Amino acid sequence: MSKLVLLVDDSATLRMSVEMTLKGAGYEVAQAQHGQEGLNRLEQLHAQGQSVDMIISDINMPVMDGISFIKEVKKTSFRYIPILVLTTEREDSKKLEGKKAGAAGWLVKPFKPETLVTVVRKFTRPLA
Amino acid sequence: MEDKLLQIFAEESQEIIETLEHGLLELEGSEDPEEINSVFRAAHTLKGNAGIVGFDDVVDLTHLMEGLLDEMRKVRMSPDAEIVGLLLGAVDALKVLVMGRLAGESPPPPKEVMAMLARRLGEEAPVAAAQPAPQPSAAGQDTMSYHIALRFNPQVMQSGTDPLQLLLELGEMGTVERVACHAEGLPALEDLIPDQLYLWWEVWLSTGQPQSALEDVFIFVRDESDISISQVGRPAAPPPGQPAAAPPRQPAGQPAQAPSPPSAPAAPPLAASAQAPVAVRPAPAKEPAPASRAPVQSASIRVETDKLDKLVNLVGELVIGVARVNQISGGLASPELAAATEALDHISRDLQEQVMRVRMIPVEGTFTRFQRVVRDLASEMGKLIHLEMSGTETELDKNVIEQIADPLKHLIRNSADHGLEMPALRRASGKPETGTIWLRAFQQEGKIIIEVADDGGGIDRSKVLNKAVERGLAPPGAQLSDEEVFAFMFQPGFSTAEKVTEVSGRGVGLDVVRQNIEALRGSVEVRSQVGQGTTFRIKLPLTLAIIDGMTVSVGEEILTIPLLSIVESLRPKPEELKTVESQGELVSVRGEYLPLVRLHRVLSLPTERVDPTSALVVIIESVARRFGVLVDDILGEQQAVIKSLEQNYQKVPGIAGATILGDGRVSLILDIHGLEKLSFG
Repeated sequence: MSKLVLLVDDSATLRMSVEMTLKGAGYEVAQAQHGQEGLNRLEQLHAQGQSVDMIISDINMPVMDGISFIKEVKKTSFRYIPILVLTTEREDSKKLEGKKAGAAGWLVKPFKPETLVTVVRKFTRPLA
Repeated sequence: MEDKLLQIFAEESQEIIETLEHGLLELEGSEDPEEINSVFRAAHTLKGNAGIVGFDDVVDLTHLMEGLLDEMRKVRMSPDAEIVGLLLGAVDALKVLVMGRLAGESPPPPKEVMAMLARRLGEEAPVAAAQPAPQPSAAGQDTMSYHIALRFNPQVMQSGTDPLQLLLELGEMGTVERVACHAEGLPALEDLIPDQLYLWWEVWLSTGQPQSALEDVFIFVRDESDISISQVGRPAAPPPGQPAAAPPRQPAGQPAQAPSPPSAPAAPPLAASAQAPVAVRPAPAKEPAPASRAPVQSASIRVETDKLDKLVNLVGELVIGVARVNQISGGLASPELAAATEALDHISRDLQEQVMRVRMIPVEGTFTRFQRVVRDLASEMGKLIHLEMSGTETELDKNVIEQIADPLKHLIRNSADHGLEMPALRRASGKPETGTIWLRAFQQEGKIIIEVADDGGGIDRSKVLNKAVERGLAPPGAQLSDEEVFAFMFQPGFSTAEKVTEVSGRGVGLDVVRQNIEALRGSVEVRSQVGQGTTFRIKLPLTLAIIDGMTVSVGEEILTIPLLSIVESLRPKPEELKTVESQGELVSVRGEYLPLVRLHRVLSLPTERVDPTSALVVIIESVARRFGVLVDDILGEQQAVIKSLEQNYQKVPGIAGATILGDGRVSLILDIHGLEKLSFG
């Protein structure tokens, strides 16, 4: 069964591009536009019996930013889902903040599709 | 696939650029951190998006804008008029770039704007956007042996990182000679914390990959964990002569004899006790729940308008179908059936209303765009203008909003150019130097009203009248109401502007405005008072898909006339009818002679009731004139769901579309403007 990645980003362009890349690599992708929606999506998918294997989240988003989102996820039963944060070179401090909040890794934007796939594989490698 | 991405990019860019523009205008003189943040975010997102689609020049430009906005965000710069102006200029350049790139061109980079932004930022020259880090080349290396000691942070699993996966990943980098797992830190089962890591590992690996590639495996954990990678030589097996890196001879999992880690002097005191690591790193502090300061933003999804149109159409059909059932059940005298169909009728109407509302969006987006227009006009003309908006939450059909933007822009330009006076003149007449343009939207009696008003000099009635007489639109000495006089301004080629300016006064304009508004089945009127100002009032239907209509019969046909245009209906007496050589038939309504349009003649419909005194005349009012329309009979009022003839058949002059009546018959809807053209040329 293919792995499910939840993508949280306010840019539709980025979501589309990541979705295309990951789908091409055999992943399922669920989307949310900001942290609050991301939390709702997690609950929703869980209620539908789907488990999210990995979360990719932007930092700078309206309504609920990435850092708050990670902190919220860490309070729930979803806390062991690895979270990859997307940052930019301007957000070095954010990278650390994300790590502190509990992110498992980060990816600096802009990134190449291959890099994304490599990193996602890192967190969703089947155990065997 | 690429096309789809570009399309999303195009749509999103347009939204972002609007947000940028609007936000910047709000920003001027304000220090609201949320506002600055939202503008910053817009620039930031656009930069990211441009990077994704590979529009490097857009990345470069937004990078500079983002830099300036970041300075403001950090309160190291304040959003004064100069910076805002600079950034607005950058937004303009951005539009050109984005549009150009989307059209497949490569527009020249806006060097000047970029240089100015860079100067403001204190940068020497525009900085190229950050490139992704070069991938280390993997091939072509000699095989080397490495000793790798992995002491992960005990809390590493809480971030979702699985050390086992990293070990597996490391294993894929080359040939694993040996692995040792150190479990001496493992506590008794009752003391074990499940998401805490008590183990550490040593790995001997031979690989052709460079050391940096091995380090990359641990890129996300190396800051907080103790990962040491050291080269132990060329041979495939670890040499015995290097005691520091020698593998333990005991099988893994035998705690007491495990060698102490020699290569890592700063190792965390993992082995001490189960509690120790907990003390080193406190659990993440509870944060207050966020989102309290979040701006109000309704969750939304993007839906293609096609889908909505289909939905609207289907619901229209449903309502008509229910009306038929209603009619049939009415003849069956079954109270149960009547009650059931009535309930069905209610539900389908509610459904229709809700579906219609899906297409409605607030006028805010369109209105706020005019802030920029007004700002530019003011500086262009050397006037001081304040734009006051109200009712921006008023909702209109998306199609109507799109089509009303141009006419509104024209009226605003008109007010700025002709309406408002120069500051000196305003001061001389005792007004504040800054003129005001009001842009108001509200709902009234099932219509949407949009007003463009100014507190300028007003319209000189005699000037307009003279011009009308000069052009033969009105007889000399005619006694006309203000309304009638101002209506001349909507005639083609009519302009009283003394000088043709860049902005308006070329004589093309108000007639086009009127046409656009009438095409939306709306109307426009002017009120003005010399010295006080002018108000243009636009009335629009709530939606384009439904009209309130009056059904009338002509012969066998049933036609629908938009209720908005109907003033009254009457049956004329013989003495109220006149035929005038040059103007055709006229009907007198309380002393005023109005032209009479015989619908059966214009639309070639056979009927017996051609004598107006035994038929009915419906008085219609359009912007240009009032006239009577001869019909056989009036059948009643009905809401009509418009079906476009153009889509299903072809455009028919004088007909706006068709609708299906409750009994299943088709009724054509009259297009008043088209009918006027057919009848009066």
